Amino acid sequence: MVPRLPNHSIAKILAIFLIFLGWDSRLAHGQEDAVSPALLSLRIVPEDIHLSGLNPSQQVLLLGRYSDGLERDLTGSSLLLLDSAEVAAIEEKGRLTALAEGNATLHAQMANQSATASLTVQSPTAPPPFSFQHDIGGILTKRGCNDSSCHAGVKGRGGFKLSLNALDPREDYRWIVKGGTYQVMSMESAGPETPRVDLSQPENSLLLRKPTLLLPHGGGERLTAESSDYHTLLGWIQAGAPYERKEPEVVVERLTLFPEERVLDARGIHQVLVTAHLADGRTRDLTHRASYQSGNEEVVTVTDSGRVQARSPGETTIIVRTAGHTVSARFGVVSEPLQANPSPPPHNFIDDYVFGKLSRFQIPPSPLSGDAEFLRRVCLDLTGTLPPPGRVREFIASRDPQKRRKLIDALLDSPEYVDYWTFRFGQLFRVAAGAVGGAEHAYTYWRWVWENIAQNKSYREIALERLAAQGYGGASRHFLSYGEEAKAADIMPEEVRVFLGRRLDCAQCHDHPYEQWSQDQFWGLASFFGQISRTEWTGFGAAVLFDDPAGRQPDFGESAETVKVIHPRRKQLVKPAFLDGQAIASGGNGHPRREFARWVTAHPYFAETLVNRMWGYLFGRGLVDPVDDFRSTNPPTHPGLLKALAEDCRRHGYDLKQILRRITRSRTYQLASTPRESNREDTLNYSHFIPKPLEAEVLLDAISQVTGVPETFENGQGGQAPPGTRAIQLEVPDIYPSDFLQMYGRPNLLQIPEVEASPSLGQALHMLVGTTYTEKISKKGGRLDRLIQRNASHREVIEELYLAALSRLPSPREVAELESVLSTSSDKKRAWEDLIWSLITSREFAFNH
Amino acid sequence: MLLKMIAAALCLVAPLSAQGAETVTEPKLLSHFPIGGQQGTTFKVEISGAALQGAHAVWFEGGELSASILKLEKLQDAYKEDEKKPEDYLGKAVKADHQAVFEVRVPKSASLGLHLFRLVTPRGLSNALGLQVVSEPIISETARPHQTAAASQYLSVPAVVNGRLSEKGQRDFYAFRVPQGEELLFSVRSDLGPSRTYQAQAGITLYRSSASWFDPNRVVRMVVDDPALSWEPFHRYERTRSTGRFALFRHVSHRFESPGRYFLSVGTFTGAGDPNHGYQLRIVRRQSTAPQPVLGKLAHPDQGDWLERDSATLRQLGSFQRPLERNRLALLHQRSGKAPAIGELSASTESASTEGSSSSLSATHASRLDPTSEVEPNNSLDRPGTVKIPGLIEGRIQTPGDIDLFRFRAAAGQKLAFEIETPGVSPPHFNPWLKLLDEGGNELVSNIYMEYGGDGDDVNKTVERKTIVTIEKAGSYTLQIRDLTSVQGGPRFRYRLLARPQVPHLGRVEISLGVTPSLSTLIDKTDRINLEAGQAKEMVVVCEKEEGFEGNVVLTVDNLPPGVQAWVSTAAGWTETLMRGIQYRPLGVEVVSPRHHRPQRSATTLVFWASPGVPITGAPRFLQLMARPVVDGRAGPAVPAGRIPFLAVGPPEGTQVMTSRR
Repeated sequence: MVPRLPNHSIAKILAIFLIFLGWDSRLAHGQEDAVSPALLSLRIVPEDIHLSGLNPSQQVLLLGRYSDGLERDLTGSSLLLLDSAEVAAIEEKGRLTALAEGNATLHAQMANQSATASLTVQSPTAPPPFSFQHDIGGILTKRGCNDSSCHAGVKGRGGFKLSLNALDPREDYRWIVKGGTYQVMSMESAGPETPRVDLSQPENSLLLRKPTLLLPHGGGERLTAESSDYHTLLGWIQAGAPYERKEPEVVVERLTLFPEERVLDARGIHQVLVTAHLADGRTRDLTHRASYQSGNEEVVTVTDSGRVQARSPGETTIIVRTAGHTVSARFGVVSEPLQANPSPPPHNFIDDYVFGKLSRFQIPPSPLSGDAEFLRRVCLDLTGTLPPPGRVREFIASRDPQKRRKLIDALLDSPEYVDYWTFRFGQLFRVAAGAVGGAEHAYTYWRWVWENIAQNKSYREIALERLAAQGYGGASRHFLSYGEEAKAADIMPEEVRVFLGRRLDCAQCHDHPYEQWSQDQFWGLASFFGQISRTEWTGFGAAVLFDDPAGRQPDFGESAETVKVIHPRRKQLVKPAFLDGQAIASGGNGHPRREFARWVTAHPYFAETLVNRMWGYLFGRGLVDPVDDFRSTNPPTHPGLLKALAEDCRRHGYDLKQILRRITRSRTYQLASTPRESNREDTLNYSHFIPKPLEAEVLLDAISQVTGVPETFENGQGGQAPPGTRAIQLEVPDIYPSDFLQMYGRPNLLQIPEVEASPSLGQALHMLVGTTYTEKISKKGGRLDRLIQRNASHREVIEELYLAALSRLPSPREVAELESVLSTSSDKKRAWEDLIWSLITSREFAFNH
Repeated sequence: MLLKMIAAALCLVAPLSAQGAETVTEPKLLSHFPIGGQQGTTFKVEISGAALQGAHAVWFEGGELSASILKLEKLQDAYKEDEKKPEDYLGKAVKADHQAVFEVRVPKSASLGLHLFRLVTPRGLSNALGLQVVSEPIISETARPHQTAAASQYLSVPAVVNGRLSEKGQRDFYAFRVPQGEELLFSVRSDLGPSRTYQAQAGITLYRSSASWFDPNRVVRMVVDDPALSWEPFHRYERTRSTGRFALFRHVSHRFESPGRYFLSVGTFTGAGDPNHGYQLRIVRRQSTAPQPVLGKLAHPDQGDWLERDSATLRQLGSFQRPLERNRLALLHQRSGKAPAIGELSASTESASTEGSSSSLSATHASRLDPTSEVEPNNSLDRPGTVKIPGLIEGRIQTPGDIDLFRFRAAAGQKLAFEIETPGVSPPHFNPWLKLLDEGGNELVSNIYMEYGGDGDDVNKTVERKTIVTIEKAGSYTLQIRDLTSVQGGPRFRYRLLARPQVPHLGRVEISLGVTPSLSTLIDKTDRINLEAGQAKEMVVVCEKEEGFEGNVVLTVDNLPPGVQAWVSTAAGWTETLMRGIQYRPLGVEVVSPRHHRPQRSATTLVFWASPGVPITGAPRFLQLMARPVVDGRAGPAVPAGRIPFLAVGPPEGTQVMTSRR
């Protein structure tokens, strides 16, 4: 059949008509009035302040709670008063400095509201315990010296290498005090070792002369000789540049921020407090020693001292680095605070978190979706399948108050659920002939995924099986790469990314440039996979994977590093070690990957990664997004919800169906996709369901379903998939080339897929002339042909096609206008073909909403 | 590695492209239907093939079946221009230009199994195809489409069906009923014509009803047979004689916990299908846990097949299931060229007085090796079991990670061999890993063999069923056996371990099989000999010399017809590659240990010559290749080394006599 371009007037009219009548334009408009808020209360943070030699100063905040629900930073309003000027002094911006031992009270008063905080000062002149990481590394962080764009870059800068954010202080100490030129793949200095500190003439130290531009410095001026940081560095060198003093180093265990989450009005300013929690239980204010960065400077900017300034409505994070740690706070900016923002009744705990944040961020949620909208959405999300027209009518007509819950359960128990989630996990696990080196390998692997989904096996068990897989079974095929053993350095980061949601790849060759993953950690983890070996029986998919304590035999050239795991810089055999450096014994009859699997599945990251991934599948974006890119600089939008979902997941035994059930039952999931005027800009907080494009395979199946003409999948070996096979049912998808799937973003699975959802010109052209759209419409035996055979009326055709494609009945207006348009055509069949084409090329069809 | 990546990429993007149509000079059978029948019946078989003109008889190798040709016709246009032509596995297109129908008579007493047949034509014998003889009545596949569960053809168990996968992507559905607890054995066998790749073999999938919210007629699969691992051990026929490929015998055994109606489908892994793609499906009740014959076993196997161990180039999973007979040592001695010395003492460990002696066994002893069972616990060096040399142990890997240890004493210079059989589950499911440990528990040798493949950077390992070693120092040694993985074990993970002195002997005799410039050429060449008057044809025979066999091997050919002679010639150049047994090894690297796992090989070229006046009998026969070890100037008994179908033919019309096809 020659592809036909439906370019006559009816098609155009129908297309335009559908755009106007479609869900795109069905917007609800809401107006909220702006009224000046009243101050309701004041508080000082922290309320209990301790100053000492360890912590000689403290940034304090004065906060006011207002009737619009916002808490504002009033610190700069000069409202803070200290009742004893001898004990401490307070600056205008709220920084308290200890003067003498004693107690005092800090007062604030404003608009009939007041607040107090207690102050205790002890041994203010005692020298604080020294920490190279904190005291010297902190300065290097604050001044940007150990930033990834400077000396903490992969190769360092100018031969001088520092670890990112002083993550590896001992290495930093070596390069500063011993000197030398850094090499990526060697522990040795590339040139003579000239110390960067001059103990005999401290002021002549490179460490001081370069950043003060007394010597040329590519990074420009970073210090002035008058600054306190300069004097701290100078004093350290004068003291002999020790790594630690007499007392043991006090390790910073963690950093906390205040606030962790804050909403600002359009003119809002807010100071961030940074508190270091030391290993000995004490705390220290690092607000003025930290480095700050805004995730989106169009939303907020932040000063070197941690003052956040609202710029435009939106939401972003402030990244804070110091003392080898990176943390973040979430800031939102609203244009006009709402006076009334009632939260809808929650369905479950998910809604508590989501609606709670919406309330704090002054974003009203959209109403609950209609039955038809929910039905289509949940069918596509849980089964990748459009509901049949009869089921749509049935569901819409049902008055059962539990019908949504019952539908969710029915879908989760359906074989279509198994098809779809086998497909989804098949993609995640890279079930492809090209990936594992043969269609038989891929098929065996696919079968393992299918069985797990069909049995609803605990995801923890799935992970354990996959990570520790040996022998010939399907899970072990994952360790084949082009038919050979996967390399440890390739497979480990994939496992960590899939199951722990972290991307360690960069740390293979060097410490991670942006995150706190070191090369040692990378190779320690990789070493768990260093004993994978294989026997090959005939090449017919019968490779047996096992862990050979002897390691692989030496081979040559490109894969030499896979023999055993050798640290590329240290040139030493690496023993398997977890992220905390704890090593396990290997060799003998040991099975190191089993240990790794146990560690992974017991790690808190495991459940968080899983629920985040499932959330991402359903909402189109994860609470952390991308779903496998957890990092300190990419924090979750709803950290509390993430933890609660993870805990719920653990409590229910990592039950995939339970996770899906929990989320799809939530009101959050069931909100309408139509935004209000006041939540239209929200893309992060789930105030309305954000439409997401159908995956290529689901879209193709949907077209086949609506037209009633199954796709034919031919493979490159002279065969084809059984008639009626859906795209999501292809067991080894990559042996079935498909222009349509390729065009709509089918991943090649040679690496973990990242779906590209952007529309393309090719897609547009394919809609117009592609065989998927044009040939299926009029094919004999298809839906339209059957309608013609039974001599259906215009109205029957319109209703059936709307139900099949959009899972809803047409509105009376749509029916009336379509009947009117269709009746102008002398060729009824052609007119109906145009109608079906218009439906399956509409956004309402191509998106899940 | 790089080559594999490129190869994998090519596999994905392109079909196996035809490398040009093969010039068919000898008759070639491509397909037949049906592919089997019942004992005591007569039925018609359709065949297609190339260069079949003048075919006048059907020759069954086993002699039990007979047939008459009813029709032979030349096809005018076998394939349309744009139609994909069937290809052999090397990508050569073979075009069917003839179709024939013959009537087969299967006596009631005919052996069950696969009966090979060839067509006899003026150009000579064709390649062989197989007809499966079964005892059960056979029904035909229904003529109506039954490609969905809803349209299934109903079968009453037991059942044998002759069917056809006529179209690409076709899956034929059948329905059947079972009572609770019934265990059924399903097997299917495809037509094994040379146009099929192994992936195109028919396979079985079982389904149960699972009405869904979306589809009330939905079925879901329960069990799928393994597309990669269903070949039957010991069937060398399919790869050595006719198609050059491994045969797949797809079968599934399933116990149905719930009574009711179930479904199965027959289809191919790749979705291949064409009008000549016949299959035979068999469903029977599983009577016991003992292995049951599945479709595809040869009714008349070649007794000349001696499966010593895995070959370096074409490995056979089945070798682990070859029984370690109680008379194993006697069988080895028969191939040693030396009659065992009468009155020699047993070479059990305690009495191994002749250091380095490798054949000091009494015939009496050698003929009886009574197995002893392992006694648990025997998994630590502190508490090993014991084994005598020679000794046959029966044990099992009871649980995942189970290790069995057996200790023995050996003298310095003693040459030992260890052989393993896995009668329950064989590789790749159970991969017995044998190690020989010294007194300190250090590994001296294992049964893992390594070699280099691909472009030299691929390390390939195989688990070997036989390992030989020479003991350097007298003392106590321990055999350790476990599964290669630490995750498998159970009642079916049984093994038999034979520890014995080495017996230098003639191993496998291989006819032109191995790494060659063109495997298909060799297969065609060794599959049969069609010899014209005045013509000479070569055949390379590779003899494997096991366990230090240093004698000579004399090859003779029995049953030559009058006017035909067989001579020994100099070896062809490419046999060096063949003898080396591996494709590539980087210079200066010696990390593989062939002395533990590989025999010495020697190649001989045989030349068959028909005198100009040779009578054209038109009657095919088997030439019997015999191999006779010669040691210390004395010839031992001859052993069968393979049979070769032979036919003396006249020159084809309009063609020149070919004196050599190499």
